[in-house]
Amino acid sequence: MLSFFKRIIHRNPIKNRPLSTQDGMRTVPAPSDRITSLTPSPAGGLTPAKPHLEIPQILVAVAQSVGMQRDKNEDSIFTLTATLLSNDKTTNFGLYIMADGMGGYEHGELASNLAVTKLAEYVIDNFYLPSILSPNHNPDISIQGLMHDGVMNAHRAIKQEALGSGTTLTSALLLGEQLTICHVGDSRAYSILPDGQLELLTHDHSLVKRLEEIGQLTADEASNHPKRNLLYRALGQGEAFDPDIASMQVVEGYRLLLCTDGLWGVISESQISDIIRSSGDPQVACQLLVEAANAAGGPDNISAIMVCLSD
Amino acid sequence: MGAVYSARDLHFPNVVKRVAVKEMINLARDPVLRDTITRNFEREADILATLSHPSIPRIYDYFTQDDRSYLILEFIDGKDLEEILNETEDFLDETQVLNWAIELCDVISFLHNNKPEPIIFRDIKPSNIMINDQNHVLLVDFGIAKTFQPGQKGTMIGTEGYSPPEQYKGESSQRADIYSLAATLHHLLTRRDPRLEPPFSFEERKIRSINPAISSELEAVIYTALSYEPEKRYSSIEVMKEALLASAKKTGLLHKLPAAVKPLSRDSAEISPVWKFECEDEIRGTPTYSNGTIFVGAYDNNLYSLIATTGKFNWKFATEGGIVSRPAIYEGNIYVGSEDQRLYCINLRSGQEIWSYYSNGPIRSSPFIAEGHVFVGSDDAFLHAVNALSGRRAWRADAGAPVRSTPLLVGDYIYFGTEEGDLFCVDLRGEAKWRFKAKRALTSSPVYSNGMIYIGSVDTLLYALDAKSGYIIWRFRMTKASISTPFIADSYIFTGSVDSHIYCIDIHNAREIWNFATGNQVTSSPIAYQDSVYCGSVDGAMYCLEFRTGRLRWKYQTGGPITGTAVIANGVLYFGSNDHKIYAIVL
Repeated sequence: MLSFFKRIIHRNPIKNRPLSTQDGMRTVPAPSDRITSLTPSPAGGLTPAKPHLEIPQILVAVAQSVGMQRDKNEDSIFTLTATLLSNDKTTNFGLYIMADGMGGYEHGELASNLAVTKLAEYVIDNFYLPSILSPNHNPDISIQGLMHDGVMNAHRAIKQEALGSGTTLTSALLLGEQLTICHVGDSRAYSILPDGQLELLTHDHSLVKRLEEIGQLTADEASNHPKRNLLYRALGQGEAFDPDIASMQVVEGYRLLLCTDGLWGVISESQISDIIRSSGDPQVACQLLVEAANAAGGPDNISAIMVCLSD
Repeated sequence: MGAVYSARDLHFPNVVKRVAVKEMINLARDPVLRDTITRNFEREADILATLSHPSIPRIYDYFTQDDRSYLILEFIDGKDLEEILNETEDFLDETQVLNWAIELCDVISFLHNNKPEPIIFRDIKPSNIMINDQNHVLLVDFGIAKTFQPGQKGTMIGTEGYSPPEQYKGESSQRADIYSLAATLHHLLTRRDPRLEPPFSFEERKIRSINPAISSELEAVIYTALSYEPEKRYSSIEVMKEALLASAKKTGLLHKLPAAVKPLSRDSAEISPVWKFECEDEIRGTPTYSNGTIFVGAYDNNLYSLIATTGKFNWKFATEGGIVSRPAIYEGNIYVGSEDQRLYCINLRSGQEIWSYYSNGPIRSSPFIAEGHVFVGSDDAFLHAVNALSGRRAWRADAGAPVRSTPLLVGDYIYFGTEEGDLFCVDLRGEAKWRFKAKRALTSSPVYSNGMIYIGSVDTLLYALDAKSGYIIWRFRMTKASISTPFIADSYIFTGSVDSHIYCIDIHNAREIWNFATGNQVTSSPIAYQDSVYCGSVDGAMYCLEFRTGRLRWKYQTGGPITGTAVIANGVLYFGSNDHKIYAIVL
């Protein structure tokens, strides 16, 4: 029989450590001087004026912080941006992965690292390398099958190498005009609409979210519920399951945000929108998002990845 | 946490009296806590020992020794419902489940009416329900074992999957047992383990869409008991029992009648065409509707024009070969290909030929008209682009194999499949932009939605390809070849297969929503209209299925295989059959 606690992952409650000074905050990878140098122009865009670009350019920005109340970082990320030659045409390829290891379990950081690296390894071995080794030969593999199998591979690896631990995993694979999202847990992927509004693409696999969806908890109750960190689905936990997978068409100007609950659970979606709207550059936006979460107490590790297709 | 032993009671040395001994290990290290746990255990055992009901195992004794406590229980010859579920492959019989449910109501009612304090079981689930050799239920594993679970886990009472939402607000009442009983019944009837599904998602797994043999009355009782709000459930277990009995009376199940599968289809006599029109040979292709007229090609070499409301004959145009494709309409003319190798342009009103164009092979692909050009494939292994007005060739693109798939133009690109399994993307000058290779023929025609091309193949797969690059985004496997052209509606994609099924698939992730088995190959293409899907089969029937569940609404039997696709206009369904007839059915 399945034990209740194999399926439901209880993450560490927030430690009540007094808020330390800004010194306690560690932020990677852009140093703060870069932020000043990239301060948005009054027009809101990057200076100088945009050149005409034939292929949609992919801009990727990343920011992470251990937060203000934790000692170690249990979030893992991966980004890869490339072009592939397919039918004598270059096609954009991007792989963006984020995982939030379960606190309170042994090796949360190990689980999130395994999740990210095993999925990346799988995609690279089975899709990226075959594509670059024989250009113009599209690998005979479906992207959704690839992501699904890659996630299952990571799931098995965690069960083998970090037994008992668990992690979220939210990943996005960009290929040409198709963006495929593969997701388990409560990290999130958002589309950033042209006006800066967020559109949630993923579904949190959390018990409290489910209770909110069925009208048994208000949004307020949910955000303060003692069991709000309880997931009913996580990588490395429980029996085999199917991750959520969906593909969508994305065109020039599209923007994607991946983040862990250290961001979305701490500052509101409208705050996230405001910050993105006010910063023209994705890197600045990511840094400011992380800073805002820390300023709000930084109870958890914070990670943000932004992927932007140029206009 | 402990084991259950089968033991023999030596107080009765002359007979074999078997008992069950449940052992629980006290894991607490703190002596005070240990004592509390032991005392709680003994208190609960005392309560249990006073309960006397045929569906509750009797307690003979209990004792504690060192870090272990033991409960001596009645031995039950039987299996729990989880074992029974695991050992059966088919759905459990509805009558059987109902009988168990009614017995469970009785025992739960007994507990809820216990004096001085009602007993709430809190943990009703298949593994806590035993069925003895006389096919009666017993509730086992009273909360007693929980006393021994270490740590704060004790704060979470009940098994995830069967317990009601209010437990997460720290509330618990008799109505929690009503919910858990219903959740258990849901699991028994659908075979879907709620512990493997998102919490509180029974509504998304409607019993009858998984197991259509279950009566709607029983389904309704279960969903009432599964209401998220406790006050919307039955007010007591007795009321739920009444509702179960009433549902059984309505369906006659109470009298142990065999669970008859309700006839789901209406007789084809009830569905009667407003008209039929008979040609001189098989109709293998698909009709086209335009402005009150139905156009259809037949294997008797003719293209027919019929009045859509009455089926009256307008005109026919004779080609020199069979017509298996679907005619296309463009600016007052109708275009059709024939196995005589020609593409014809015919005046819509008069039925007079305006021009004809020669390819070097039978034309079985349907014409697609855009940008003033007719695009059509031929068995001569070319895709032809022909000026729609003059009938002159603009270009032809070498496909290397016969093209029977209907070309599709999206933006600046034309997509079509070949009998060698190539899917070509060519530009408006006929130059290849990309090529995708399936393992077998692509006879099906491509369809487009949101940057993706969907096409079925004889290699049994339905492919979703990025329209710009041809990369495979997902594929869906059927048991046999597919030459049916997919149809997209909402976020569903429908298709048919030679494996005789009609499939409904989630377009975002290729998950099967439902499938429906017809009596023979499905080479016809499904179409969706309002909340129904219409598709013909080689078994000769036109099927009308419920859009979201695939449940049969009705079928209409014709005298021959249906291989073409239906067309719907003004609420009327038109389709041809190999029995030489074209049918019009009002929906």
